[in-house]
Amino acid sequence: MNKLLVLFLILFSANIFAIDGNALLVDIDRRLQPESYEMYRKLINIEPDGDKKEFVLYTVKKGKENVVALFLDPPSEKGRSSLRQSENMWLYIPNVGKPIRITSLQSVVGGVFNNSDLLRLDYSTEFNAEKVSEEKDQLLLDLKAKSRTVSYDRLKMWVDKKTQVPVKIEAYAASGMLIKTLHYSKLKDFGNGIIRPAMLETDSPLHKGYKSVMLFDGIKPRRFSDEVFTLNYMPRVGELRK
Amino acid sequence: MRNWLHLLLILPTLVYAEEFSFDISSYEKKKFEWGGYLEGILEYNHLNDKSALYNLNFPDGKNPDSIKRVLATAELEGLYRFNLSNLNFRGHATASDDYFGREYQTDIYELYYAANPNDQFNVEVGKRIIKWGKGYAWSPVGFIERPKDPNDPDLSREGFIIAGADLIQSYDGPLKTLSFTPVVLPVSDDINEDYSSQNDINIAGKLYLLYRDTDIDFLFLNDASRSARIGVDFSRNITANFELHGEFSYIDKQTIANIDAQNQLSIDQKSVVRSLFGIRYLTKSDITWIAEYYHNGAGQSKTQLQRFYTLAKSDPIASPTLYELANKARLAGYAAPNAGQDYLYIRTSKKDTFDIVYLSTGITSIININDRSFSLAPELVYTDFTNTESRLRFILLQGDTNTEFGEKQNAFKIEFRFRYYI
Repeated sequence: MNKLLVLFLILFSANIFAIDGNALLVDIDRRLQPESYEMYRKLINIEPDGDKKEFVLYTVKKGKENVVALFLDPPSEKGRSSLRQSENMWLYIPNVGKPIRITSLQSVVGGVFNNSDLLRLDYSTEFNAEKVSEEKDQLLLDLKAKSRTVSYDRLKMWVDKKTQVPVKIEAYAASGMLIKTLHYSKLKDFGNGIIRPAMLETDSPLHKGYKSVMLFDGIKPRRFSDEVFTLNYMPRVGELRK
Repeated sequence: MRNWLHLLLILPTLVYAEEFSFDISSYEKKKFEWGGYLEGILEYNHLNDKSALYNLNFPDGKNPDSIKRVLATAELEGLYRFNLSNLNFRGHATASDDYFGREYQTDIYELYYAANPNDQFNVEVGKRIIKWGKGYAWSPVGFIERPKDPNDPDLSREGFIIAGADLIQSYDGPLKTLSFTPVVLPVSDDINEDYSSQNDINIAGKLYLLYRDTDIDFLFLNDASRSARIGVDFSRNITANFELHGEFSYIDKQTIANIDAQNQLSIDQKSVVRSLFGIRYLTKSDITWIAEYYHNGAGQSKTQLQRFYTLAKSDPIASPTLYELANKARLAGYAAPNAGQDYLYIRTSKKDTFDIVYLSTGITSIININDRSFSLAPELVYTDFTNTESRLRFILLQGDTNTEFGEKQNAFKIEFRFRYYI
C-alpha cells in the first residue's frame, strides 16, 4: 500500500512540474498577437556595406489559417498583396492584375525573410512542442513541424520565463542545417493587453553579412469577414485600413 | 566639455533610434493616393535583312542594318476615396524616336468607379483591365482582354469600358471560396470599337472556386461581337515548391485566315480549342522555373506560315500583287506574335544571384514546336537603388528559312530599361 502511495505521489508530482509545451506555445502565440488582428510592419534589409532598403506592410489575420499582407511602401512595391490560406499562398501585383500562386520558401522582397515569415501563422498552428527544458531565466522549446509543407522542419525557441515571449528562435531545415536565427527585442505595450517585442532581427548563414529587421506597430485585435481572405478581395485590402 | 561628453555617450542611442524609427501615421488610409513610374528604354535592333518581315517592313530599298530606338514612358495612377466608393485612374504616355520617326501617344488605361458596400460584393463601372486565366505567357481564357506580350507578360495593358461586379462567399469545408464575376462589355462605333467591328452587348462571366486547395475558374463569353466561347482553368500547389496550372477554352466559329496553294487569301470559320498547361517550380538552390505548353487551335499551321513567309519575301516592284497579298495576310494575323499553333515557354530566374541581394538573373525561351524556331532572352535585373529598377536584356531570334523566329525582322535585340517609381 505504501509503495502504491509513493508511486502515486511520484507520478502526481511529475505531472505538476512537467510543462505542457503545446499549451505554452499557444500562450506564446496569444502574447505575440491576438488570433485575429491588424498590424503595421516595417521590414528593413541591411546589406554588408550598411545599405538599407525598407518595406512597409499592412497585415490582417483571422483565425488559424488566414493572413493577408499589403505593401504600402516603397512605391515600386506599393499595392502588392500576398494572401495565405493555410498552405496556399498567392501574390497580387497591380500591373499583372491577377493573383498568382507563390511558394512559402520564396522571398517577394529579397533578403533574409521569406514569404512564410511575412505571412506567418501562429507557431502552434504549424509546430508541435516536442520538448521543453529550462536554461537559467529562459525556457527552451524544441518544435517540430506538423507537416512537410511547413517552411522550417524544426525550431529551437528560447522564451523569457517572466514575460513568456520568445527571445531567440533558430530555424532548421529537415537536413539539420541552420537556415536562420531570429532575435526578438524591445518589449512594448501596444495596448489592449498586448505586451510583446516590437523588433525582430534575423540573420542567416545562407545570406552571410546580410541582416533583416522587422519593426511592429499598430497591433490591434480586429474582426474580419472570411471573404477578406479571398483572391477577389486582394486588390481591395488597402481599403481595410482605418 | 561635459555637454560634449554627454552627447558622445548618447550618440549611439540617437543613431540607433534614427535607424529603426517607424511612424505608421503616414501609412494610414488617405482620401487621395497616387503613384506610378517613369521609364526610359534604349534599344539596339540588329536586323535580319534576309527575313520575310524585314522585306515587308522596309519596301523602300534603303535596307538599314540596324535600328536604334529610344522610348520614354510615364504611367500615372490615382485613387480617390469617398463614402464606400472610389474613383480609379491609370494613364499611360509614351514618346519614341527611331528609324521610322518620332511618335507620341497618350492613353487612358483605366478610369472607373468602384463601389464596395460590403466585403461580399462590389461593383465596377468604367474603363477597366480584366485579366483572367492562370497562364503566365498566354491566356487562352482571357476572353475580354487585349493579348499579352509573351516576351513581357507583366506589362500593363489598356482596359475596355465595362460594367462588372464581384460576389464572394466563403465556406467551411472542402469548398472554401465561391465567387461570381459577371461583366458587360458594350461595343459601338464610339465605345470599345477596337474590341470588335461588330456592335453588340457582350456578356462574360467567371465562376471561381477554391476547392480542396485548388483554384478553379469556369468562364464564358456570349455570342455577340465575338463568337461564343467557354473555358476552364485551374492552379494548384502539388508541393510547397511545385505549382501546376492549366487553361482550356472552346471557341465557336472562330474566324481564321487561310492562304491556299494558289496564293488566294480567304477567311474561314471553324470551332477551335485553345489550351495551356504549365508548372512553376522552385529548386532547393532558389531557382524558379516556369514552363508552359500552349496550343492555339486558331493559330496558323507550319504550312500556312511557310506560304505567308514565301509571299512576304516577294519583290514589291517585280511582284506587287503577291507583295500586297502578303501585307493583307499580315493584317489578318500571320505576323502577330506567336501566330503558330504549338509553343513551349520556358523561363528560369534566380533572385539574389551571386549572393547579391536585389540582383536577379533570368533566361526566357519561346519555342515554336511546329517549326523548331525559337527566341532566347537572358536578362539581368537590379533593384538595389530605392524606387528604381534596371533591366538589361538580350533577345536572340533563331530559326531556319520559312520559320517563325527565322523570319522575324530582327536577328537580335539588346535592350536596357530603367524605371523610376514615384
